[in-house]
Amino acid sequence: MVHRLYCEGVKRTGTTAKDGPFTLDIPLGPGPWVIASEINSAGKSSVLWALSFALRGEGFAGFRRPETVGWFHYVRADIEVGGVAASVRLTFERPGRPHARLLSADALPALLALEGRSDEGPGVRVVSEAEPPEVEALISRFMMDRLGLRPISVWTAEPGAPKGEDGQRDSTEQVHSWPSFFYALALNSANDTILLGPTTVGQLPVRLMQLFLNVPYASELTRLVTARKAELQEGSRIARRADEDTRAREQKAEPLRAALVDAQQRLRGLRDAQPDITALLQAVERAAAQVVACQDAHQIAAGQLEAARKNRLTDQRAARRARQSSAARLLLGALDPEACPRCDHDIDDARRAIEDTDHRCSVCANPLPEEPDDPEAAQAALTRIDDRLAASQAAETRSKAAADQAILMLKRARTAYAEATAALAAVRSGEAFTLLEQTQKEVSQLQGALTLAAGETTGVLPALAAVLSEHVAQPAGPQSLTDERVLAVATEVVKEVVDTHSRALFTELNGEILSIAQALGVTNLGSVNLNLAGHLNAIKSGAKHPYASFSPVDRLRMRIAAVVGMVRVGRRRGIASHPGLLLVDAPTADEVVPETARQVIQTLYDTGNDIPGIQMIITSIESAVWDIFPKDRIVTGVNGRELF
Amino acid sequence: MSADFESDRFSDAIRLLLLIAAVANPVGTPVGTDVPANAVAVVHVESRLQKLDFWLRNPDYLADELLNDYERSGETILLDLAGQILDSDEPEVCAIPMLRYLFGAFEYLDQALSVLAAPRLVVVRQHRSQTRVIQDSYYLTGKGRQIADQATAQFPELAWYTERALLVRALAEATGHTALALRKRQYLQRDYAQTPLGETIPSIADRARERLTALREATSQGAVHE
Repeated sequence: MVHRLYCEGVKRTGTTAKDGPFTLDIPLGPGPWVIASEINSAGKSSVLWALSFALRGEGFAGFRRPETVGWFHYVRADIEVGGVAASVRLTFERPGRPHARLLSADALPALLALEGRSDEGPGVRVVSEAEPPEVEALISRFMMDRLGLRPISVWTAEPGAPKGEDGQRDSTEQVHSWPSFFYALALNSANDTILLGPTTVGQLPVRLMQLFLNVPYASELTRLVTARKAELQEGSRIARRADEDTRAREQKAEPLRAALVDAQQRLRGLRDAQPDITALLQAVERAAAQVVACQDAHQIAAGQLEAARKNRLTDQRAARRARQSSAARLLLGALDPEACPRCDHDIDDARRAIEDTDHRCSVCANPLPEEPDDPEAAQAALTRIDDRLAASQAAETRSKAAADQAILMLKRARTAYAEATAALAAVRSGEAFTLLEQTQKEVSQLQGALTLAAGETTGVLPALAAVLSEHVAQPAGPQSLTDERVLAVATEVVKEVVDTHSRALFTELNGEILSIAQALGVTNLGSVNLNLAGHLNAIKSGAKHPYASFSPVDRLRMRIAAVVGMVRVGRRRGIASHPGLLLVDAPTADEVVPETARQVIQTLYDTGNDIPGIQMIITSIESAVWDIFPKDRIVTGVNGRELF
Repeated sequence: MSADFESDRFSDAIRLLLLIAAVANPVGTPVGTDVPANAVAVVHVESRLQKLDFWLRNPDYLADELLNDYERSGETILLDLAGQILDSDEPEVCAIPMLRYLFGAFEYLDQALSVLAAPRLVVVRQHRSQTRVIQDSYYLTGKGRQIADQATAQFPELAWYTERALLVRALAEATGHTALALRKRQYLQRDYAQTPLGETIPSIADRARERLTALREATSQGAVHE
């Protein structure tokens, strides 16, 4: 309820005759008021604009006239909201960006008593102040608090956001508070096709009505819906990101995969082309076995040769001895002793003769031994020894031959072994083998890289799996799903409550809208069925008539009807959420037929008068206003001309 | 080797005769009073004889000594001689092992000498030297010389002894004439010096052959004697 509007400013049109400082001081109160003039551009809308600035924290776009924005230097509105007396003081250092000061008092008169800009007085106190960026917030908070309103949350698509795979746009939460709620006070212009509010997104019109009709949990429902949508969006975002990740990984993995396939193919080819190592290995084995066999044979042969040699040496020694002995005997045995070796006395012939006769030794007189010297026997013995020697020499020769042969065989076997080993080594170190090993390494490396890139953890080394688990982004876990479930259930429950209450209220509201709309001059309106989706479902002339299809004039009428109906229903139920203030700029502007215009004005006046607690401020240049409105309710300039 | 070692007094005797014939010095003229009749040469000191006999009976030790000499003097002939001995089976076939006694190799030669003394091929005399030590002298008679020559001429196995004895003599005289020097040589062989008393002196043929190979290699690379 606005009780007084006070403005100070400087008018600048460029026509010096009209320019100069001005002051507006408009007393107001409950009931219908009209800001009237007989000419256009009298400043009617500008006054509304100034008022709306004080009430809203930001000038209402519909009332804004750019040329007059900078004229206002000071706007003061003494109001009563929710039983509290307050005065909003706006000081414009720059056009459209004021400081704000909020005053309060125990009773309204204390505020009304203050002159002009004065803000000090008995019982008057400054509640708060704000600089230009915070002015809107300050007034918004104040109004919402006083009226007991809660913000409405709407899930709005971000501008320019592309449609996702699920048809959803990337959206975000938009919170509508007092500046949007003001649309229930200052009505959209006739051209606007939205019934109420700045947008139809999130069924805002319906929400606004539910809000002002005090539908329980109306605000909370919006918050729940938004929260749930946010959760779902986040979930789908995460899923999308995971998808993108997987795709990206796949893409990264693609070239690796291709390379792996290629490498594996090359490996197969190389393997097929490889020379048969097994044959070579077997050859080496065989050669080694042969060497061992030859070594054994050689050892035996050498042993045998040694033995044969020893035998031969023995026999040779024996033969030598025998011959020496025989020769010595021949030489010395035949000699007659001449002297005694002991005493060196000569041995004479006589003694020597006894040897022949008595067979006594001439030296020691012992019997001579039997002559074993049978030359033939001796010779035979020698021959035997010689034969034996010859035999053992032959044996040795044979053994030597065998040993030499064994050595030769061993040498050959060793050479063969060396050749076989060399052949094997050549193959192993050969280019083909190196290439094979390289290619194998390539394959292994690619497999490892592919595992890392593609993030497949099955059947992978533990070390790799550990690295992978760090990288793979965990998709939305059950946690957020639970949150979403909770929200979904809560939404259902709350929605039930909201819908139930809304239906009841809307039914009543529909009746009101119908009657008021008809009173305002909407023809052939059969019924109105405002539903929870925000559709008016009007039936005009027996046919469904969407709101947008109504003519601009009718739209405005329907709008007025809706808001007035809302207020009425609310008042009837003791709901004070709507402050009861209505601001309508030129309600009959598009009216063609003067009669209808009059009718509209009349209805508006009556409505303003009849419904308790309503304050309706309209602007008009209709001549009818002069008749319908009492003089003290007309705000006008000199001679019905410029207001300032 | 000891199994087929026959203590054959005739073989010992002829060997000893050939040794004496090879190493004895001619009896000087005029002939001394204690020189027996018909003596043509003499060997003083029995121990010297025994040591020379040792080398005769152990070609491996002789060859080793030749190598020692070669290392000292660098005369290639010594290397060659050693090679001749060691390259053949001489050490195995011709060696007659001896038992070790005190004071170097020592063997009872008396029996062999009796065989030579009886037909007066060799005459043994004793006399005191200037230092009053009893010395043996072994005089070779003309008959002895004759038999020795005959042995050498007729029997190749026995000729071998003569040749070897001459070589041994040259070796002995290269180091000096005294018995002491000879004895020292033999003691230089560790194998021999460590042989317990009464046991057979072992062969060093294999070790000598190894040494020969080494020296030959060193020679071919010009490393011996700087």
